[in-house]
Amino acid sequence: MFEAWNISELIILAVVVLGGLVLALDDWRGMLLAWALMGMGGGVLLQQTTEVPRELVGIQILDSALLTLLFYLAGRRAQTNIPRTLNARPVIHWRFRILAALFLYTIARMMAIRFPLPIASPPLLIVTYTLIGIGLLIATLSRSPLKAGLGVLTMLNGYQISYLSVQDSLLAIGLMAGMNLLVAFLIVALTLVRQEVSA
Amino acid sequence: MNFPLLILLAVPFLAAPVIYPLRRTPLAAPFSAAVAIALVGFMWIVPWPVITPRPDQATLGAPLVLLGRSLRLTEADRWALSTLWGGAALLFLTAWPFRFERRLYPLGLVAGGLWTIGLLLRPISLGTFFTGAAALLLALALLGEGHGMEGATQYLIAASLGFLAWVTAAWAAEQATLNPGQPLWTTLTMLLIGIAMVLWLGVWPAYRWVLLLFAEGAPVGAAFTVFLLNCGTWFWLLAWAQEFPWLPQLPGWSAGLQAMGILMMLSSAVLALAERGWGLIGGYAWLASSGLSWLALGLGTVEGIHLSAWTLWVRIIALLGLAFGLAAHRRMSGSTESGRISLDQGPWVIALLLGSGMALIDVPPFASFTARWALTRLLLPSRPILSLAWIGSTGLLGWALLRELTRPREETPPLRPMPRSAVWFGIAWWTAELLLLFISPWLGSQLRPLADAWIHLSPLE
Repeated sequence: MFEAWNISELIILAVVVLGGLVLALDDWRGMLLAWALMGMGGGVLLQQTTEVPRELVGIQILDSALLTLLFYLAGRRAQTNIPRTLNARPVIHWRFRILAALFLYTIARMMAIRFPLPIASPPLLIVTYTLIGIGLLIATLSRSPLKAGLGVLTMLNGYQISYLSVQDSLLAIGLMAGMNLLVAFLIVALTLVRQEVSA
Repeated sequence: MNFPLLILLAVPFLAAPVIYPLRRTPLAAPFSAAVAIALVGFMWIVPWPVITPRPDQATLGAPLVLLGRSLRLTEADRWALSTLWGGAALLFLTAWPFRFERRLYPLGLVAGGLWTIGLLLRPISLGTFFTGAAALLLALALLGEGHGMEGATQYLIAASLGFLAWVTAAWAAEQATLNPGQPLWTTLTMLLIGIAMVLWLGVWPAYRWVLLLFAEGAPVGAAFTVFLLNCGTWFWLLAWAQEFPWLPQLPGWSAGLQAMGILMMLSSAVLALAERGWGLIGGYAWLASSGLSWLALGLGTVEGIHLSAWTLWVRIIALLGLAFGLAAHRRMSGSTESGRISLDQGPWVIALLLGSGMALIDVPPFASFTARWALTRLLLPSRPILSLAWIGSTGLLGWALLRELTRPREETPPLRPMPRSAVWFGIAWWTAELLLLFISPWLGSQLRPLADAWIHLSPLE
């Protein structure tokens, strides 16, 4: 148990740092890379701390990779047509965003310890709370649909980590993956519609 | 196999791909409306056999089993779906003259279809995914041509967070049923349902997206979204209460609904004073009017529940007028800001905006005034200060509307002519409002099954 906690602590830290990077970076490609690695890290964390089947974790990792590719292609199209919107910086400086990520992580730790849920494990709850907080911050601070969408997906990623560990219905897990894809599709559609408008 | 129910569920998804290629043509709106009306007609024409799998539950036809999960239609569901599809048909027809609403037709049908599945599917934890998908999908229907991006993005954030709250609430409710002695799960369920409703209904402080949708987006798409989320959530909450009968018995349930309703009405009235523009004020008027339904439901009395069910229907006409007025205003001037169109340039458009705004804030002689009057009479003996505050909120919103009307015209680019359809729509709308006034007692009696479904579940004194 103690060893598992140590390994998962490292992965938690990696996922949270990557989540912080998604929040702190201004360049959309950097954000996307950090987001992809964070999604994969979430999958590895799930495998380390719960009894989730290996196939499901594999699907989670593959899902992150495919969505990253989808966003990259949409972002590249947007880069040629609406570079100003895509590269618009949030009004808050990156140093404050890093501070906000640290603050969220501290709050998440406190919440997971003070208000534990009997079914979900504390490490997973910490990641879930942190990523939901970071995702919400990204979504509200960003000006382009692509970046705001990455925030929404960061929230969903964080949520999925807890959800997959407590949910044993395959249908529910499949539907959650479907919702992830739907949100990704909507983000790409919003980005491309914006292009259509500016063109 | 319950084939009529299967047809009811499948038709919206079969019709959407047919309508999608037609969305730029004038055929799309009547076709979509015809599909929605056909669904309502179908529900009432089919001779459903009444089956009672449990003594406390009667379904129309046998439950339909798909992937091991059951979908069942009850009398209350039939009323709920008739309201949703009937409202959808009217909104499709309202969008007919406006090209920038073209995404609404296929997306509206799919969203309605998903919501129907979500409402009928059991367990409710799986239904949540379908209602969530319906809510998310509507983000695309909110975009007009060259506008609405900010509102759609904010809506997407609120809808996805609300969806997460619903999913977690369903999971917590299942845990509460499995572990009856643990108050953690019931508290968590209540808290999460509250958060989900705040996000989906646009309750302060998560209200901004509603205003942006009306002010910047495609107005009929926005009206469709708030209509589906508000009425749909009313029916969805009923499904929750039927699935988890302990929910309405919790001490915080009634107080939570009341607090939400009061917050919606009072915050909208106060905040509207600081804003300008027909779209923004229309958004606040909608929030205030939907707050009344939730407050009435939260009272937990027979009269309050009947009143809440009745306001669902009476609001639809007002919302149609607001959506059409805003869309026509946008087409004439390119935006929904006030001071762009004077009364003589677009008399029908301004009359619609003013009339629908007044109908939403329940001013006489509109039929909705009876709802406000009845609720005031219900509340006055027990909570006189609250009654005064919410009569005052009508005054504040009325003042905000009047200010829009009297705002001097600004120097703006030349206007496009008033849409010719505004005259016909205006005549139809004012006639419908007048008719509503006369048929309101009949309407109230028709909605009895919906109210009764709540009354059976509520801890009445």
